[in-house]
Amino acid sequence: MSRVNAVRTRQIEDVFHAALERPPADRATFLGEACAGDGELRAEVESLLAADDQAASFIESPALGTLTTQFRRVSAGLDLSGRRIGEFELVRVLASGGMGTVYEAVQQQPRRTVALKVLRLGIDSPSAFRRFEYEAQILAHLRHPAIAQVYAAGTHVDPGSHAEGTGASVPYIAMELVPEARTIVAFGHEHGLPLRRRLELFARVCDAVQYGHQNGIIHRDLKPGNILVDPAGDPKVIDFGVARANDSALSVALTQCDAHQMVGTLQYMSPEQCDFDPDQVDTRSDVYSLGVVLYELLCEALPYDVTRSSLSKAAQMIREQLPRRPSGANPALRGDVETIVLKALEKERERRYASAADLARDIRKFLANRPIEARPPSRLYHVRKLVARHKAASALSAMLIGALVGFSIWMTSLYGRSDANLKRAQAAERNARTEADTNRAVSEYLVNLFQTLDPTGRGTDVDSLGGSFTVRELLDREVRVIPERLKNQPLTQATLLATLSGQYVRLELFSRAAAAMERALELRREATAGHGALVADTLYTLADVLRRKGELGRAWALLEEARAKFDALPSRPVLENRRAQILAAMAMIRRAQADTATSVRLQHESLAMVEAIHGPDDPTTDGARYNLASVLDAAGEWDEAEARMRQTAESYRVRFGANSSQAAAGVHAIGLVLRNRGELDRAEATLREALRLRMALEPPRPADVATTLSAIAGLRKTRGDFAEAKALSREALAIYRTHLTEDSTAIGGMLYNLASLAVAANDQPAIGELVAEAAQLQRRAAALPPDHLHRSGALLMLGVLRMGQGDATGAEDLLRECVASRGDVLSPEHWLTAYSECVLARSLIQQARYAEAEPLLGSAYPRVAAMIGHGDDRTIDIVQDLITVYETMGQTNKAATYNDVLLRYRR
Amino acid sequence: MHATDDSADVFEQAAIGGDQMIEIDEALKKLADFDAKKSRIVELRFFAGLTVEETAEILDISARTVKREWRFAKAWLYRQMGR
Repeated sequence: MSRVNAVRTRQIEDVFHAALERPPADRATFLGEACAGDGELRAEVESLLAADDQAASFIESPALGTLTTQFRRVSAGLDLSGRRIGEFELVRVLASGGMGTVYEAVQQQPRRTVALKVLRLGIDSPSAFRRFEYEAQILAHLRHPAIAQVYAAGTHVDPGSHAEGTGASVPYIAMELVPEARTIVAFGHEHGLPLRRRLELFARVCDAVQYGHQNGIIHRDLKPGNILVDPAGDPKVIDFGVARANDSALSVALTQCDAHQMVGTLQYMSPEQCDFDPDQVDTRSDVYSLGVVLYELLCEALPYDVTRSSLSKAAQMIREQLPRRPSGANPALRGDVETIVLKALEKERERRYASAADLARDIRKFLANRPIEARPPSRLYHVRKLVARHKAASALSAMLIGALVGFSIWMTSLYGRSDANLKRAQAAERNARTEADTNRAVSEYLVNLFQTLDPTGRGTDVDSLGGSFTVRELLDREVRVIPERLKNQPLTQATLLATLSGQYVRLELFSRAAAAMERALELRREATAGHGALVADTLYTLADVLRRKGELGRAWALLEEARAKFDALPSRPVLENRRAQILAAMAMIRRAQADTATSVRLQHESLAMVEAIHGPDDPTTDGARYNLASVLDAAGEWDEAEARMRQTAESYRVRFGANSSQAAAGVHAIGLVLRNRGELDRAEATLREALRLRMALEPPRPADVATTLSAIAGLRKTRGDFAEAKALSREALAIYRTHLTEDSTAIGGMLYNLASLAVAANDQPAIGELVAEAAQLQRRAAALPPDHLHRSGALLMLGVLRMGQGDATGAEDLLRECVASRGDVLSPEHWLTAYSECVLARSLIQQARYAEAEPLLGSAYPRVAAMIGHGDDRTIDIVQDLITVYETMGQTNKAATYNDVLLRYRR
Repeated sequence: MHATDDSADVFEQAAIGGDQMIEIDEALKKLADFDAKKSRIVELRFFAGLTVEETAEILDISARTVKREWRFAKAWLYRQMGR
């Protein structure tokens, strides 16, 4: 912006604000003086003032809702008592809210006292007026003893309208007045109603809502304030259909209060209403709101505490959080009543009561001591789907803000003081940031995010492919635009790229994760002349990404560089900790390369360092101990592995409690060590104990449950109990499907396990079904980026199934393609690539091409065993194949060696 | 996005849809060209749904300033989009 422009802008603004401080009538005079012959200035300010006059509500409601209305606000706060509107004489104000004012009024003919709701929004066009009248007419047809009747509706010209020329037409609705009414919640509380009476009362409310639904009207705004009880104890639902079924703008305007009032209203809104997707709102949304009111009536508390949350945070909570258990507030509700309430509050409409009538029926069944229809969540449903459609994206925005806000704090506290280069770079960046600073970057992200989350439906196609797809698109776009938008801010750019890289890792898109992190490293190297802790830290993080991708050689080199950089820095505990982490990361690389001896040595060193910093009794030390135990297990040093794992698990149990997720993880880990050392009975008992613990976790951790189920399934498979293995695997798959997006590789992995089970059991019907599932996976993969693991996963699965159908050559083709396509996402060094080669080898064995199979198996086996465990059923299958190969090739010594391994598990 | 006094049926344009969001964003970019701070405030208030106080905190300016800038920005954007 040029200097001249800046001065001019300033001038315009000053005059604009000064004019606003004056009454409208004086403004012309004022402008004449203030602009003093500067016609251009005056025209500019005048046009802005005109816009201001009309823009009162413009963009006032956050875009999150995208329901911002363009109505003129009229009559705000104006008391019309004593005046007459139509045939109604306004007596006094009963209530005043965001959408209007309710008066007690007297109607002339018939003579009666009514409640007259005068809305705050004007209607400007004849067609809008017709629509309003039509809607009011429909409402007037609702006749139910528990619904406050609408008598009449109309419009009047608003006397308080500040619009020039004609005043806007202001709609009003006359309805049945419920004298001395209390809200249902207040009534229950004040009369100290027992549980039975409260339920009976509530069932009658459900009847009324059902009646409305049968007449094609969704209430949409059910809350205690709209469910009244008269002194005789009879319920009356008011404002029925004021939010009308056909989503006219009127209904939007009527339900949509000011943003700050919305948080209160939001508490009763269903998750789909929080998505502001009108197409998703149906009668079941009312069932949900009824559930919230029932909850409040019975618990005298709300299922979610959103009172101190911002609008978007509150909406997120409703979409994602589990409600607090009613029995927590009122133990008498345990059992059926709790089940009924929670069913009404299900996040997914399909899982709620299908209608208000069904809800009422179950309540009455309970009251009659008959079994209710609702079932408490089963084992599978215990494991809830918390991944709502927008969860990842909202989390992403929160995270990016967190990353940027936290970044400077983090750098100063962690490295800043000891890093002069970094300080200089930060200072330089601060200077470059006059026009666009960190907050600018944050808000740009938000703009982009919320545009992508456009609830008008344009994103639907994308969404149907799964939540992570949307996020991936989001990430891809951010990675593209960052360099341009943050040209002068290399450090901020690097922070965002690093954050996005972490998200790619979460989506298991390692190539993209690596690319983003490589760029972050470059930027940070340039900005800080390649020195210091920041670059060292980035090297470590990039190495971690590369290790996951399987680029072990490069990852190792980066870690060595990082270690050298940290060594050059003065010793501080926080840096010591990083050194220990680097050693642990190096250990993981050696393990992946099947060099377990080196890995054990490095984990020992890392543990010693951690212990020196944190002492023996510390969670970080526990973590290092776990790492060591785990690699001892991979190295086949089972006595020590088991002892250390037990020590770790015991420490978790003491530190976090017997019912903690950590304690459960410890038991699971012991189970795996027992499995790997061949003690299958004890292993299974231990894993079942881990399952029990994980099932009881609060809050639930579904993925953990599925992991343990899958481990037990593997054990059953090793023991030849294919039926139980299949049942457990199916259960694990169902949990993953409930909890994760369909693009998650855990689902692909579980499907593969089922395929290999079906083949092992020669279960041809199951093989057929799984071929269909694999084809579906493949179709899904076609819509995913080429570096998604599903692509190769589907091929692997199909390859195995083809073998099960006796088509070894067909299988070979598929598996070769699989191994090749693995290269798009994982390096050849990755164990999954190695494992795919083993499966390929099996198809060669079936074709009696043993000499070709042998090298594949020989090189892959140790890496697979080191990564997934010697006792994993997939590893054991490879051992079996090795024995077959060596026996046929006449290499009896080798065959005998592997036979010894096999005997450990199959006695 | 149009002024309410034009003849079109207000009901057909009440909600800000996706296209209008983009329109707002376009206008916002223009605003950013001459006043980045105002554009930031709009982004935080409108797109992120922050309150005046929250916006003030993030930008490290007073709530009064946010209100003032917000009002001007709104008028400016409204006019911009009506053109």
